[in-house]
Amino acid sequence: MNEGLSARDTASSLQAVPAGMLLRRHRAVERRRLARALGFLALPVLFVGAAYLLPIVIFLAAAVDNRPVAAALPRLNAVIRTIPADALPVPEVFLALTDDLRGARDARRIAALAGQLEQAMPGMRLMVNRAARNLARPNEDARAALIAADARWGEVATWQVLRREFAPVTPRHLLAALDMTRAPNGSIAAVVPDQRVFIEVILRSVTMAVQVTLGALVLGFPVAYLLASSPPRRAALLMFLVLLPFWTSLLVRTAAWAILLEERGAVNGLLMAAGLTETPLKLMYNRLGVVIAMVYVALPFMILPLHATMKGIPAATMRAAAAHGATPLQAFRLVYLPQAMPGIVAGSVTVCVTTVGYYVTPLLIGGPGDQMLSYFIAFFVNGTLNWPMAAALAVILLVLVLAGLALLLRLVGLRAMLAR
Amino acid sequence: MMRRNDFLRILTAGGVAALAQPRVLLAQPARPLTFTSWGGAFQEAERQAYLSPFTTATGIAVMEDNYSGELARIRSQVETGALIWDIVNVPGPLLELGCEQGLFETLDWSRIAPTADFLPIAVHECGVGMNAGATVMTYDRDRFPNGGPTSWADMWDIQKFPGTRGFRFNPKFTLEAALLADGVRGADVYAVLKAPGGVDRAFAKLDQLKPHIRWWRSGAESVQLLASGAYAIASVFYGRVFTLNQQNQRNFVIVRSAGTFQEFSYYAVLKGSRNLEQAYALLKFAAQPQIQANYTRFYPYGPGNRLAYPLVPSAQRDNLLSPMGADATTIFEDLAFWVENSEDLLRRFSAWASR
Repeated sequence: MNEGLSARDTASSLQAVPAGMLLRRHRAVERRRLARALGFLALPVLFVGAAYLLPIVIFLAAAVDNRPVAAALPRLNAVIRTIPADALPVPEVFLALTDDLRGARDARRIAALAGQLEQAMPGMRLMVNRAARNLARPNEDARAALIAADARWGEVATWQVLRREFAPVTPRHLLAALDMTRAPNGSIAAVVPDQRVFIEVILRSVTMAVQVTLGALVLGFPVAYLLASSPPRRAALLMFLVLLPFWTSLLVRTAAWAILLEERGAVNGLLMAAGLTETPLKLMYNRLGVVIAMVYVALPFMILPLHATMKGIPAATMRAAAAHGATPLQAFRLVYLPQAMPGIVAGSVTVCVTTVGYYVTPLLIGGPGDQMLSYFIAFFVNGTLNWPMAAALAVILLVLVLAGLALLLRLVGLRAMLAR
Repeated sequence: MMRRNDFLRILTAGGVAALAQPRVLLAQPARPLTFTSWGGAFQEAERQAYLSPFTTATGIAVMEDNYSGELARIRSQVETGALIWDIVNVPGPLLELGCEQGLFETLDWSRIAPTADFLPIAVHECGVGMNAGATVMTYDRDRFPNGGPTSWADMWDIQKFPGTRGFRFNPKFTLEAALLADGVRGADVYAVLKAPGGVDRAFAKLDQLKPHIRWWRSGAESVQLLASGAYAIASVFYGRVFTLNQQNQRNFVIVRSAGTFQEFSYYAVLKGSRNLEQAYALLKFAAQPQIQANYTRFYPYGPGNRLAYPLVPSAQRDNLLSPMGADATTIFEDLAFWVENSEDLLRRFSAWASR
């Protein structure tokens, strides 16, 4: 009806004005419409930019920002270029460092500085702290005092590292987040084995996300099928049950799993009462418990996209397959599954991408060996106030999530996603 | 009668004045003196012995919070200037590190107590050593009726004493225990830790027990896990298991002879506290010999005030752990070692545990 109206409008104006002018007028109207649409969008875009994107960018920038080191050591910064690459610096450089350390000590900033430099070279924290506690008095030999505090101040490698650490941008936190470090000569190498942790945590996060995705798919597929094929009233009730967890705090639901999975918890109680096991099964503080609880949390995110796709699959296609002689299994594999595939992919990627950043569930159900990337981000933010390191890990988490989304777009296609 | 112009002018002037002093607009109601400690039975004893009598005597209300020794929670308050705590109970290395970093007020001891009255270890420029602390090995006698573990080496013996082991999720006193289990004499523990390879040796020993360890993070959690029977043998704070035995008629054996780790607890005032006067009042009150002696009725840790010891009720004397009663089994925390290494070792420990 609308179309008819506008067609008639267009027809009448066609008679009134020449064609070129009409086109211009049409474009002007379009521009105004676009401007109005953008005007409506401006506020949300501004809000998202200022309250969401900007803080993220600022936080992530902390991963490579190296200005704090130069700011804490201004005198050394001024003479740092004079340090030769293959020999100890002149005494004036030792003096500059001593003055800077005295300033940092009096400003109570030694701990922060020592922490920053520790990541540039393991052992540096101790060296800076020792130096700050044993600073040369004004008339004493600054170089001798530093070397007496820690012999490593007399090594060329130390100064090579320091020389490098005054660049405004540093890759060291990102390298550290990948268990790598720069050797004094600038080459990149893996850290010593007893300090390696993040590669394993990254792999662990991805593995757990995949396990949870598979678990949620296996459990969620039949539920979504039931939802899609039930009569409306039953489907509404089922949908209500699927959505019920959204109205309960994640913390409460996780704590409930702790009660169920504990060594003397409900599940073990039932199993032992039924005589299925004599000793309680280890269901908590290990990977199994975490994956069980995480599958539960992730289920709705799998069921909803599956259900949306399955509802659009005409029942007639299965009947047609049967009529053409397909067994139920063949019909499912050749007819139903391909049609459900967009939902499977969308659900799997959604679950995978959200699961890789889980924090609360592994924290409450898992042991130290079951913690994912978010745990270490929280550890550095709250535990040691090492924000650059937290930012570097956040960058890695973000890259993982973006990679997951890219996979989704590749598999389903942007157009298919938008059409849905 | 006020004319409309005057009214507007006053309103504008008031508005400008208010905007010029944002503090006036944002002024928060004064927060009462806030005391933060380690929660559970430990803090309950402080409440009974120090805080409640202090409020009764002075009329100054004390608000409470608890934490688990995270220096970062103190640092973030002081650095942002948004203080939610005033007095906090800190262990020695934390006091030393926090003092060095300017997170605590430098105390004027003349406003608290004569320093000569206090044990030397209890006197610090940033803190008042209120009481000792200790970490011990313990097990449920009902679980090992035919004789339980008697040494840290026994804790590592899974064949002889099967079951889950409990340790604090912290390298302090965990590395030391591993070295004792590895055959190092108590007196040599810190010499070995400071020598090259000493820390590696402790971690290697911990590796053997790791699959059997379930970590606890707060004293209250350790008590809950002990009480529920989750632990066969555990390394816990002495006072926690002591009060668990007393209050719940439990039968946990405290294996003091295996080697007991001692430290000291300090009250420190956060830098920039707006309740500094009240904080001094509380420190002075709690430092009195009689009040310090009274604390031992609630918790088995020796006080920092020397003059309190003769006043300790005789019923409490034998249970007390303190530097005054140190013997061959006591291993006192090496402050210098932990001040220098706590951050790096905590990092290495976390990395090791998460593997």
